[in-house]
Amino acid sequence: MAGFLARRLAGMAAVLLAISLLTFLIFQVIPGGDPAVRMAGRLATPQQVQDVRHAWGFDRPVYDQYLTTMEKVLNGSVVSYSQQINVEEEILRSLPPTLSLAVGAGVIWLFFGVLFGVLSAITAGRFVDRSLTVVALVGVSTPAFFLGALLLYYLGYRLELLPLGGYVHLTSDPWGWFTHMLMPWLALSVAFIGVYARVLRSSVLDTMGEDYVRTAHAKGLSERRVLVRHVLRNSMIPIVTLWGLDFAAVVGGGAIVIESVFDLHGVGQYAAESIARLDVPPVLVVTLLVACAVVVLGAVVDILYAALDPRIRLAR
Amino acid sequence: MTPLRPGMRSPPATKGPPPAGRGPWRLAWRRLARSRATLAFGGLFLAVVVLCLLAPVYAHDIAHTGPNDNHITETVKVGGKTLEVVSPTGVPIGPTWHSRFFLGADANGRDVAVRLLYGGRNSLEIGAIATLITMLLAVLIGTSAGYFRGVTDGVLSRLLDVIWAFPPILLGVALGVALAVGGLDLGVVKLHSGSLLLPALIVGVVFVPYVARPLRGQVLSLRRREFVDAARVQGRGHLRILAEEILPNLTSTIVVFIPLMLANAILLEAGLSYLGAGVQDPNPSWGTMLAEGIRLTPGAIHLVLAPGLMLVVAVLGVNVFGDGLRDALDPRAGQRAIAMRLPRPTTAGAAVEEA
Amino acid sequence: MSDASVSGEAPRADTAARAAELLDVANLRVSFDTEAGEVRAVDGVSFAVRRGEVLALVGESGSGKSTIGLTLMGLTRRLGARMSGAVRLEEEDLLGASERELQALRGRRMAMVFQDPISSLNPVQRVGWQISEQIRAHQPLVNGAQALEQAVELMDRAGIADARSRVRAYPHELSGGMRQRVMIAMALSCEPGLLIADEPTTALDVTTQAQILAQLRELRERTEMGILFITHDLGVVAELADRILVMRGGQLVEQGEADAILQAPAHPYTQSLLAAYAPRPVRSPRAWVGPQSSITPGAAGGSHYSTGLGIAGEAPLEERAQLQGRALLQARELSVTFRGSRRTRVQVLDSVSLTLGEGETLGVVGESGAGKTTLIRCLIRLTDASSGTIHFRGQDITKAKGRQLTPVRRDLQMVFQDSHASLNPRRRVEWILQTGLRLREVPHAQWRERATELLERVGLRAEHLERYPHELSGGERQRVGIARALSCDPRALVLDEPVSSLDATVRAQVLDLLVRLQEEGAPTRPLSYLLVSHDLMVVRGVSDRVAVMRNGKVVEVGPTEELFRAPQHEYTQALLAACLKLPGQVRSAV
Repeated sequence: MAGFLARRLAGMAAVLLAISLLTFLIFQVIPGGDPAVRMAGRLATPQQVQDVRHAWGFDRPVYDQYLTTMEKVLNGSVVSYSQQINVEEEILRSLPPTLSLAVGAGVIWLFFGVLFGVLSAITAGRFVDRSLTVVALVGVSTPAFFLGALLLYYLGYRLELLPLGGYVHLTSDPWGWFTHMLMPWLALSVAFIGVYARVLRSSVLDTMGEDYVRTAHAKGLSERRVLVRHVLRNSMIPIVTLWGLDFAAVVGGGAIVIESVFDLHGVGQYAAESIARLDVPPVLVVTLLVACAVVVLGAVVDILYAALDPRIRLAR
Repeated sequence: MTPLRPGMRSPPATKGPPPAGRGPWRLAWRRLARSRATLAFGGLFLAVVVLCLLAPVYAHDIAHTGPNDNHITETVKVGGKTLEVVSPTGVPIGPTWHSRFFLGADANGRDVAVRLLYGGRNSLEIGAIATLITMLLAVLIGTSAGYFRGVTDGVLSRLLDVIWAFPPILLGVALGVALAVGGLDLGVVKLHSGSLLLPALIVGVVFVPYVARPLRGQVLSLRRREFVDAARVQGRGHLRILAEEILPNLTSTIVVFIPLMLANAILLEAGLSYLGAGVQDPNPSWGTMLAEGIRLTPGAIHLVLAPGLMLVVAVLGVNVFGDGLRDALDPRAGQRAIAMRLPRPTTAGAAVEEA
Repeated sequence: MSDASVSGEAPRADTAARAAELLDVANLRVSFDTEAGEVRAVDGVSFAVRRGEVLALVGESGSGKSTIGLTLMGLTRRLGARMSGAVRLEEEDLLGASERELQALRGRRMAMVFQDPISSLNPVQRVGWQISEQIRAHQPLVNGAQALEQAVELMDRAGIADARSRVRAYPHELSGGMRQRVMIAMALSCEPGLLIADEPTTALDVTTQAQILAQLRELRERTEMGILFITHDLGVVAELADRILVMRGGQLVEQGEADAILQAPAHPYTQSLLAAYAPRPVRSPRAWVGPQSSITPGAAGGSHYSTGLGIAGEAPLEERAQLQGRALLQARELSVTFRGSRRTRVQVLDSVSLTLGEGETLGVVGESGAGKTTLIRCLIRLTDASSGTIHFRGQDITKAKGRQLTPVRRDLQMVFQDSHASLNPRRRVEWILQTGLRLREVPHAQWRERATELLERVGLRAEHLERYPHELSGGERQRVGIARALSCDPRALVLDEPVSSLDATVRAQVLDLLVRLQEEGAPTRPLSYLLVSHDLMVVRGVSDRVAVMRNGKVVEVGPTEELFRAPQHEYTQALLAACLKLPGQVRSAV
């Protein structure tokens, strides 16, 4: 375990380092990307631009700029170019909507994905399975922001059932929070539900063909017990790990599109807006945050995987 | 669908000798031909493709306008009434169901139907090129990592980790915006900022780990198979073994991944374009049209519905076809699609000999 | 077809006879719908199992014997099987029973032990839990702790040492034999009247197999249980069965008392089965005998220990020089260590010295894990040796790489154990055979002709050229594997368990083929075999000399006849003793 963690931490550090470098370089090589010009304003004299450039250290070598920026990122004092606000504080402010979105949608898609997947598997080839397959495939084929827009238009605008986007804090107004999050959750979940249902269906069908399931039947166990304790116990393993990784992606701002459709002011939306302004520091920090979430949850998933399947050893 | 009901193993069948030379491909083709839904949806996608390819014909001979032609001040006759293409308050006309503005107009008075077809060309082209890039890179990386193992595997796997941990949309948007400003100048290759190759390249690279990882896993297990040993005992070189023994066994996986990746590439391109990092105005694509429509909601829902439904129909066609193709080629490939994220244990391996 | 010892149709006719009868199967038919149409797996089979007897159901793969076992347990229904006839377990009608009624019977009144104990146990649950689960399913009053306590007791009785700590083990943490004992403990947990054992020892080593069989025998003596023992192995049958049923193509061809059938089989199929099992006469030493024997004939009491000194220690120098000309492949003090988990090193091969002469057949026997496969992979340069040397025709090839290996690759070919995995499923037989011809730089125009010749040499026909491996039977695939190895015109074939995955009759045919090929000789030069097998009988029939391996060491080498007549090392003796023998005429034929 200790060896696994050490190796994993080293791997994470390497990946994060590579990602920070890559992100930094992407914005360095952009031809029109000189931030000093934009920061100095439209009417700035060349001298003013030069002053800004010097004050922010843009005239120093690239590696030097990278190192100072990373140092600031690590001690939490990095400031955005455009508005000169502390990036980490801004991200902390935009975390609650993103977390609400991720946790709520994660629960919804896991629950319905498993439900539909199991239903589909035990009725394989019959009407219920066929209908669920169609629904799942339509879900997988629908972009979340299209679905979100439709929900907003029909449920929000035409029927006036739910509020038209925005975020309300859970602590100040729980019901408002719930009604505001309901559509984003649905819009984000549908594609995942489709994927999970398909994956679990084939996983359950494969497990049903295993010899140990035959043994379980031969022991005289009830159908339900065989399904829950032997089939699902084994076929849920890939689902759990899949969920961890998808959840990580959403937490880290992977749901940019949904956040901007519903105007949630989450981490992803913050990143998207910063990118549009070619504002490197927020993009860098958000990217690192996402990558961090992905690698950390990836390690957690591996540990979980080993816990769920005793045949796996963490040493590798 | 296999004729056997799921659960347990197939019965100990005593089959007569089948006619000789029936290869895996022909068997798959027969199974595919039997699955009507698969073929129907494949046909649906093909129809969308053909329709989009015929965009210039439609624009020239039916709608009599181009994808970027503004008609903002014009009027159009529908059922005897004369309507403004865009009202003074800025609301564009909805579907007329006539040759002009069949699906209505957008805020600039452009014909939505024409733009939909031209946009489809762009979306599909990007999807196809991206898929090509993904598959080429993934096959190269996946097979060499799996076959040569060791240092090669270590380096390539870390590379995949980096792409993997980079949030796809964020990477896409970052690259997209960055490159949209000035294009990409790699000395040899120059990409203009408006080039369709840019989003295709971004989308293509983002999906490489999804394909490369399962391929690597499959090669890892294939190279342990005895027919690879047999080839080595015959003294054949690594490249020959890769090309002659390993690759033929990967083709069904590769073929299964192509529609899957095509569908995902079209979806990601739409997402990127929605965020302004994909196809750049005035070039249409389903994603940019959707983005524009969403900006104008609730004023003109037809601007959301037209590109959205077209996108869903195209992607659904690819997905259903891909699903059927997978069943026909390799009923167990579904499991491998899961395994792409994690190393899975070889369940039976332990029972066989050797310490 | 069957001599109808059936009373299923006459209810309560003879109470005394019925009391003895536990299971009564009358005119059972089972069929499946497959892509190829309806397949009849079992076609009108009638038999009975009495209390306290072992009834052996014998047949080769595809004979329908396993389908009968699964049908009795009511497990073929979920495969979509169509069944007719009558099956009675005491007073219960098994075919007519509902799924719920069957659930109550399965595990409690009848239990089944399956062939492969690793795949038959749930990999993610502890074995104790898996046993206690069955107890609790049938005895609702027993609580979890009590059930687990019973599981410990059952495992202890099934011969698992240290059962109290092993209940917490996961299946993969136990050895193959141990897992099968767990399966047996589980099957016996509710003291069923009928035990169905489907090839329970096939996946096990000979010594473990002997132990499991002893346990079943003891069970028969101790209890009133009836055992239906499904197997392809007549040796096992001779050890255990009271009566025998022989099946072929879904039908019974013969049934009767075990001794009677083994000594005087009436049906031709049974006769051919038995003939395939009869060990062929020990091969008489031929022109070239192993180096040790030629140097020290009968010296040191005929013992041929390889004590780690190897050739160098046994032969005087000048004789060694003579040997070099005739020795084809020589291993000296070959060792291989692999890195195991947690930085441990596993020594798979421990200074093994062996010599394969020109035209000779050297058999290597040992149980799984003995290092046999590693040894040959090492000799054929698929695995690198950690230390020691390998000489091929006097040339050191221990470290040869790439182009240096080309002549060796041509002369030294291999036939693999798993005929399924050793042929590329995506290639036709013709292509597979041509790979070797290309290596020998045969002009393209002759390929087809040469490939056809090769097929004919191994007893196949030109029409097989067009086939894909999945269109061939197991025996045919193995013949193609041999043809591919021969296509390079090699001096030696390394045969890794070449017949272990084949049915008895097919096995005999393939062994005959190997012997014939060697006698015919390759077109230009003698053909040597290095034959690796876990099966003493296979090795005995075709080898000039035999080496016995255990734990990565060669414990004994000697001419086949001597080794089998007077084994020196105690492990060889144990192996021979554990090896099952057929009674009566078959044994006397040896």
